[in-house]
Amino acid sequence: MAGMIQNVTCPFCGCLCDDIRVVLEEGKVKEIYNGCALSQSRFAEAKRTENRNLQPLVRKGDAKLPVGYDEALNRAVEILASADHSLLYGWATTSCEAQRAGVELAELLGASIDDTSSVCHGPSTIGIQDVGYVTATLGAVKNRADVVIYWGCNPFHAHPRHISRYTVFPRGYFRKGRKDRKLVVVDPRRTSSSRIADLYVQPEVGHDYEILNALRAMLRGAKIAGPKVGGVPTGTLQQVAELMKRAEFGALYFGLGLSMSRGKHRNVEAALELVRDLNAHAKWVIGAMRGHYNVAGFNEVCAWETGFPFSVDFTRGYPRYNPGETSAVDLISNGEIDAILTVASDPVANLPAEVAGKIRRMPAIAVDPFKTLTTEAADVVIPSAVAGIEGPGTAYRMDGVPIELRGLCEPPPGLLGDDEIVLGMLQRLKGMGSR
Amino acid sequence: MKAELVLANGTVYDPANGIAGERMDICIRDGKIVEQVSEKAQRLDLAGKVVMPGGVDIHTHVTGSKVNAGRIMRPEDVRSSVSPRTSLTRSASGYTVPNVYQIGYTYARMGYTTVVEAAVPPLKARHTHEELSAIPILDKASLVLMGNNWLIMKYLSEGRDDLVREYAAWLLEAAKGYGIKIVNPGGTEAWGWGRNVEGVRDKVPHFDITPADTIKGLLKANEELNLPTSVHLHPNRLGKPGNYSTTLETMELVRNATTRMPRGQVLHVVHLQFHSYGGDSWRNFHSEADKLATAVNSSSNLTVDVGAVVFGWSTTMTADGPFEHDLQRLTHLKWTNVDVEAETGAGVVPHFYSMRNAVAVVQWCTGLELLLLIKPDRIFLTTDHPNGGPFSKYPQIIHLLMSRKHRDAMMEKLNPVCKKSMLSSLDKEYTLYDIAKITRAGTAKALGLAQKGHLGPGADADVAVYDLQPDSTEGLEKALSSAHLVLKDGTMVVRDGRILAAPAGRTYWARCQPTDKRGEMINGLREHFRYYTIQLENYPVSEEHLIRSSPVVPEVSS
Amino acid sequence: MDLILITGRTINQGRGTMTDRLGGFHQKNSAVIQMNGNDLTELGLDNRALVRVTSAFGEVVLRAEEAEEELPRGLAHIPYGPWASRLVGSDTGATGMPSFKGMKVKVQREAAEDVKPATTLGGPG
Repeated sequence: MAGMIQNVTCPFCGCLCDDIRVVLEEGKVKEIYNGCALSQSRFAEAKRTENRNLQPLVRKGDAKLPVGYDEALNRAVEILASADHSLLYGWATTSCEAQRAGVELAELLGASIDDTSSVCHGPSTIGIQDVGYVTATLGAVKNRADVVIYWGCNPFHAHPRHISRYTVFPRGYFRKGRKDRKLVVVDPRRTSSSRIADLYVQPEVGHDYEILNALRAMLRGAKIAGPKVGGVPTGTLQQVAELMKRAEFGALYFGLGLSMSRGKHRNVEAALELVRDLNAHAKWVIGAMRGHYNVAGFNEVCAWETGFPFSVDFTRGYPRYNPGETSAVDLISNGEIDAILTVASDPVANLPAEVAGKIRRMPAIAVDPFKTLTTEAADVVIPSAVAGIEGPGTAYRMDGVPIELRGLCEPPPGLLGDDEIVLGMLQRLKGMGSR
Repeated sequence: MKAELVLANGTVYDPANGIAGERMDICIRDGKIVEQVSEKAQRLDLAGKVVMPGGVDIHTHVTGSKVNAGRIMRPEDVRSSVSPRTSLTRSASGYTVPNVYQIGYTYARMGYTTVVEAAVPPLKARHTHEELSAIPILDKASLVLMGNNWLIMKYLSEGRDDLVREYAAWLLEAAKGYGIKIVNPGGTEAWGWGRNVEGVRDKVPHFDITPADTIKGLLKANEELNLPTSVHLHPNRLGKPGNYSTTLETMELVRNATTRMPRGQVLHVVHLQFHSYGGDSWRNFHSEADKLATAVNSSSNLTVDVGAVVFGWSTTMTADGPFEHDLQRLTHLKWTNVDVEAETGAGVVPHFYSMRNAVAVVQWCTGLELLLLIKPDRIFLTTDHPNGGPFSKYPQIIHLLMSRKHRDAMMEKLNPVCKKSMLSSLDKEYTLYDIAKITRAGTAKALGLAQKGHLGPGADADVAVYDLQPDSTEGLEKALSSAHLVLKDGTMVVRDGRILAAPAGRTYWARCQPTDKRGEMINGLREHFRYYTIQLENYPVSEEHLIRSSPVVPEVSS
Repeated sequence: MDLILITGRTINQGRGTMTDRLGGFHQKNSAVIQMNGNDLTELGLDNRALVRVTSAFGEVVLRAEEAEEELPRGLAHIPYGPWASRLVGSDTGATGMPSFKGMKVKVQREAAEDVKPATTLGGPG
């Protein structure tokens, strides 16, 4: 395939931009247009074979030897089927088709399945389960919002086109663009995102809970005693409260600054409650800045398949959900997991070192297009095609809008997609008879 | 494979073919009902059993964005009803927000074989279809939300009925939907600003039209397109005391409209119970079911489904965003809201209908009154699942319909406001023939599904067999919850309440022929798409996403 | 010096995870601790000097730099990755989420060791 391909969906962050234009040359991505720096890297990386896993590998003795898919999948299923309690982890950077197969595999194995949400916006989901989630798709914000707040996130670095394609700069039906909107950034750091804000608020780390609740109290007419809350002058907070009350349509986007700091899901609850309370005065919505391009998709798939959004335990043959008990970090840290399958994820690099160490010491199968610390540590490495570049699939944007991914190029010779790989494991497991 | 089967000696209720409790044989070949079969046919003796066509649920919220938001928000509901996987079935969970397997298996056990997803936001239709594809056994169709769609409203305000028709046709195909759904027309758009509309003559903020314009305009397009079902409408002012007058006014809008389609109705009003209230506050809140019943009975072109209330927990979920905000302000329970750009919105709030609460009891009475007063050809049994209660409770309602004594016994346990209700004086008791109308024959006809809801030759062999006593309601609820036998396309899927097989069902959708206005509409659509945040080319759902895609191609009128 | 640590995403950390997870670009951009300029001065550190960062859960050698995303005094930032992970504890407080932000750390000059490559990381010790 050569020439320019329009309307391609970028498989990197939760913005899931679908207006990427890709130029192919000799069947490989030559360049892209409309994509941000992260998108550029994403499309470029696929063709750099030095970083790719090109052949399945299975540990035999001290070495990891190249084998065919058949042997690798057999070995993988052998490991998982003989484990007492395996964990199927990752899932956020692959297609819904692979995720569905993963859930079925976990159910059949009597394993646990979790995605990277549990260390990302899992606390946000826990907050939603207490309060609810008053939200809107991104276009509603583009068309209507006159006040946009980013709290505890740095879109310029993590979601580079969020502000420019979706919320503040674009021309919407009711808003002409930047001039028609007020941008507020709340962050302990004076980030690049904060530098284009009309109002910058600098809280101390770990005090968002008090600040959010102070705003709620102000909305109810309370006077806050003392000059500051959480490091923010009360006067500034009063300014924010007034701005929020007078908005015609406000949107608050929040990130890991809330879900990862002390208080975790309680911080998110406070933000969710603030936006809920605001709706008595003005139209407001809130949105979680989901990191990976299909982490929202995993929650959707897991929820319709099992009822629960992540951290699902199938050890009793039916789904159980209790983050803190059934979540990946706790399971591994508590010594409950004796084998792990990772799909499109690098927990050895990104989870706390103690957990990474435990993963290194247990039988591990890693399915990934790329070489990572996890694939280096794994006993079985299964290479895959990059979903969204080398194979199709479905993904869900951070606001729940489902968009198709496309296959644009051929993967390195013989490589299968994540969905085919997981289905291959499922097939083999079913062939083994009931456990 | 020409598998032949005779369901012999059962007591058959097939209202579409005028069969009211006759002992007869039903012959099946290759998944269809046929006149007769060869001697080699397998014979199943169903003496003493009741045989009906498989149930057809005309209005249920089972899949898609807001339903899944409900699941995610309510793990307490999910874990209240969990069953492990078996060699044949996946693990099932959830009570008012069941997972896809619970939905398929529970409906099948109840003898239902076709369901219609009540409301789909086209931007997220792909999500609906991913879930529909995962639901085992059932055939399905979905209704596409259009009543707050910006481009529809724009074309209506410009008087361009031709482009309304063209865009509606395009939207149905893009969303792979079967019919047109309108929810709180104008109101959900107003909710985009935190507002609502108060009646059919209210102007929609920023759009130069009224809900009446939207209803009439989409109705016209629906009939010009010869769609198999009529417009399905959730009127303005749902849930408000005194809203019955808005409902009557809404119905009045279509008094003279006609259709040439075999269904007969030009408008199907959904969950009428929630739109039948009198009074002007929660204190004098009461039922005006009799006024609605008179209006429906005297019309020739309306059908309704009841949206009855069942005591206990429900999860309210609707595209009527402002309603959910109001409910949340009343009950202070958790609240999810999802506005969908340029198209629609949704809200989800858990709700408990208490036997001690006067409002809930009035609602319960209202639903039963509607069912007892309106001719069973015109009203269908639903709970607006999960708004009035879970669909798994249909047998409870059926029991109440069939037994005056049971209704009286129930009313003894309720808030005494029910003693003042019209319900307490209604004697009517439904027969099984009537029940078959309101749960299958009538719904299939209103949906334009000619091969469903009956047992005549040519019908799909979707058959439900129940262990029902002929003259008693004893054991009725259990019998209807756990069918003796259920066939789907001639295959046994349920036996004594156990799932025997879980084949994939079909997805019906309407594929309309474009007219010569298609080009102009697409140009307008392309312009309009700058208000979206996805590309026009990426918006339509591809047929590969559907399981057993079964397009229906309406005839083109000249 | 005692500081509060937050870990997070940066554009270059993101690009590094894609193009060069096991190599130099990723290490250059993620094996760093970003600090307020005055804090660096007080510690007598030049830009890209080696420091040992210690939390209650572990320690790691990083290069210190002045943050482009400006930090107040007393606050430091390390991009996500195997270096940051050495400082994060696995106790989630029954939430599923470890403490990736807000931990107390000690930062001191490092004279002996260099930054360890990613491939030697991933696990305590």
